Amino acid sequence: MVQFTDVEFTYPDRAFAVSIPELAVDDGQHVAIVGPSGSGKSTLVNLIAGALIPQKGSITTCDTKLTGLDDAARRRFRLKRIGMVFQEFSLLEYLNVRDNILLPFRLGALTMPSDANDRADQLAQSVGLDRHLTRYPRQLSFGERQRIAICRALITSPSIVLADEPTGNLDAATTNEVMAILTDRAKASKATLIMVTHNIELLNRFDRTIDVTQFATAAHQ
Amino acid sequence: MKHMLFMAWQHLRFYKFRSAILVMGLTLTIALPIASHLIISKYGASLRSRANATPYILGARGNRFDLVLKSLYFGDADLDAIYLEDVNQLERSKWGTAIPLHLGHTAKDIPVVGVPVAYFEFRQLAASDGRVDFDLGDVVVGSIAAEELRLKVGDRILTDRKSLYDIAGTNPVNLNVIGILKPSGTADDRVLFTSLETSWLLDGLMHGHADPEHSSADAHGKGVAYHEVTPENRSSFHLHAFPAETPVTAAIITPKDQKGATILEARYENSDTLQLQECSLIIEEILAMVVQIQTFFDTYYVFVLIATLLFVGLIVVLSAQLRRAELETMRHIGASRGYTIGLQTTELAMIVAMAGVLSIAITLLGLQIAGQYLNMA
Repeated sequence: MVQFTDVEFTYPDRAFAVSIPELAVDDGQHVAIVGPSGSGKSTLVNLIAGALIPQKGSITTCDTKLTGLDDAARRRFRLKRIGMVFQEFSLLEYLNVRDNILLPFRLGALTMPSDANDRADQLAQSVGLDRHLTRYPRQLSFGERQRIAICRALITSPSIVLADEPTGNLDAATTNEVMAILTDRAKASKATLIMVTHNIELLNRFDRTIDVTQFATAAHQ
Repeated sequence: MKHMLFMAWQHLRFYKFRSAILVMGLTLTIALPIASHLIISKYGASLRSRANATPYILGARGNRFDLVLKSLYFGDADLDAIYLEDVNQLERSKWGTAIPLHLGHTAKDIPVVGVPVAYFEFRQLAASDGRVDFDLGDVVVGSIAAEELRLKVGDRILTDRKSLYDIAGTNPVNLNVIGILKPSGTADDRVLFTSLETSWLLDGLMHGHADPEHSSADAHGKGVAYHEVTPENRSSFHLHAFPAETPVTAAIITPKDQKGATILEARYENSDTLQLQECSLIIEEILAMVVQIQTFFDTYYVFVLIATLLFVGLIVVLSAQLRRAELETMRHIGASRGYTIGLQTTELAMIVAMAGVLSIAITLLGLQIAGQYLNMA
């Protein structure tokens, strides 16, 4: 569960701020975050992930009060409990598909389980990438790259998958394909899915929609 | 750490070209000054060792560096000759002993040096095969020369004609190999040693009469391409010069004691035709010049090092900028800033380590090659 209570966040340059008196997302829920550009969608995602810390209020994610943790503890928490998918795929060009999927285990804070390779191979198989395990991102299509990113987000069996416009760079057919994989895989692993999107055609795939326009406040002078 | 090494290695491996340029740039910057220092230091030690084992050189007036270097290392000899009598005179003075050397001939471009048998004892050279007590027409071969010319005891080797157009000149001699020397790690390994008499035969100062059964030697050179000394015709060879006027190129002089050294130095200091040079002083003079050149190169290397470090620094900074998105992704997923800095540092450390290993390999290779070409022990 994600719980925001009396949260107020302002960027250091004071150009943008959000105020969230109350927000809750239940475990296993699939939630779409919508709003115009610059309305605070990515800010909300980063607050849930603990990448940003509010000046006021508290954020509790998966029974852990993020606002009470130091930076190192929040990073460990993020690695262990949260899977992240980005619009630009953000794959490492110099790692092959399998090693990109295993990346969270190579960032120094998590111990790589003995069956990590098998898990990566199974995930790749479940999204139809098992024949490309030793290939590099440049050798794959955009849709295939986003599927690798989804596998990377799921390899640690996270409680929450945060996706920041994962279909923003994809055509309609590939968008449907990637969305099906993302929602199916999240459901299969019983993870909460919180996804930022501009695409209103995708909203019927979610249990709930949050419009962040309500949280944006005027820039502080 | 294991994962950081893995990630760093994958990055270097994927961007092979860039990594190779960095490694090669650093390798050359590290290896060149180290290799040149070691080679010069080893070469210096080798020069000193041979010079210290050769107290003085007596020779004709002229360039003192040429005299000493050519007498020690048997280079192309265009030195003026002195008379053997000059050497004998010094010996008769009892202030020192002398070992004459006669240079100027080659066989398949390898120097043929005329020496008395005492030279082998002086240089502590012994035969690994055969013997060293040569007679007229015999040759004792240095170990490397034997290997290069594929010579063994009982073989023959023809000396080179001094000039292709030297029709009126002396004929070559087909030398008889009687011994192969043990390797000494000095210039003696690359030489063919004959007796002084054989070198005079090569000069054309001796001739013999042919044995119709075995010999190709003919004092008149009619239709005969070369001389060959055999047991049957050896006694027929004789000198066509006054013994006192037979030439030698130089002589190694060992003074009896310090007083002898002082007297001999004084004796030849004002000579119009002869000079006596202390080998170690000449070599130190040469090495002092080498050190000056080395100092210049050291300064040059410092600038190259600074330029290379700036170049590496620029690449690291540009690389960090190009990788900003990648490093931010890692941080978003959960990597610490320390991890991403550590990752880049590990990559740099791997490049430096590879350059270090390559530098050692290149330095060792350079030393080996230099050793082969510079007669280093």
